[in-house]
Amino acid sequence: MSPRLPRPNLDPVLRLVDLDRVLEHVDVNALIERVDLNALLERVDVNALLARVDLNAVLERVDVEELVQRSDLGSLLIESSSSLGTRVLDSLRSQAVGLDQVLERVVTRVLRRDAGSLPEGPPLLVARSTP
Amino acid sequence: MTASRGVAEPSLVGHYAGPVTRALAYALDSAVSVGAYAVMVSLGIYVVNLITGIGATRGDVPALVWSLGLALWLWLYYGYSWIVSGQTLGMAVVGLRVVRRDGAPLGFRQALVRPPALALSFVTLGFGFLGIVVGRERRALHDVLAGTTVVYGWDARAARLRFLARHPHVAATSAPPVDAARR
Repeated sequence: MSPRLPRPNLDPVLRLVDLDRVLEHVDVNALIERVDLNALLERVDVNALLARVDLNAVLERVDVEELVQRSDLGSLLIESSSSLGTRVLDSLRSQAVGLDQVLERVVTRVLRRDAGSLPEGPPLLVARSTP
Repeated sequence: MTASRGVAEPSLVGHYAGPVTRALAYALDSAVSVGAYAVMVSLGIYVVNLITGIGATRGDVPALVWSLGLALWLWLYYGYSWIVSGQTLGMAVVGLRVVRRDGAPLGFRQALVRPPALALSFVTLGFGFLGIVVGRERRALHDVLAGTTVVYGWDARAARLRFLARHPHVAATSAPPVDAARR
């Protein structure tokens, strides 16, 4: 029975090797061509991967306003609600609500309230609208 | 598509309505209800004259009868509107609706109690409306008596999107009309 030889310590040898020069001789493209990506992807469990993705967090990063401007979604919105009446109502309501908010700020300052502690609306409605 | 530049604009649906929007809705309702009452009365007098030929005029009817008739009409106008949809014509135009204090849809009892309670807010020389301005839940005296509150039924965020869809040259980061007041 042959004796077991001790494993040689190659670290000193490797320290002498310039790996960058070695890698310069490696054709990375040829290496990648030898990799069967389809076989590799077949081993990826896409469902498990998607389950780890927090879609709400992803969607929060979506700039909806820019999406509306850049996509056909904007034209859909226009077609569905672009009557003159809608525009007039939107304008009227925006102005009135804006004034409401200005007044709210003034009253909050005068009464020295903590704006963050004021309820936004009835519990059933605010809870429903909060994501 | 870029990442969001900040907090999404709030829709305001379900948020307590402020004094300006409520006053505007009330002004519209007053114009409509009182105008409709005047038209109905004139029509009624015309029909009576047509049938009887007595040549009656509005001055022939005692003021008390006018007043009671108007009170009954206003109770019907507001009460019926609130029972059916939680909003009157003026509130629909401005984008408001009446709900119960917890946010549940208005019930029959609340819709019947609120109109006469509204009159009480006026009888108190307007002090009944002070709660809308300084109250934490923006409730007037008639809201407290009827167990109701008024909220926005209009989606400010959807309106903002419609505006941007019609004006693609406007930068999406520019302050919308509603939130400009906050800054």
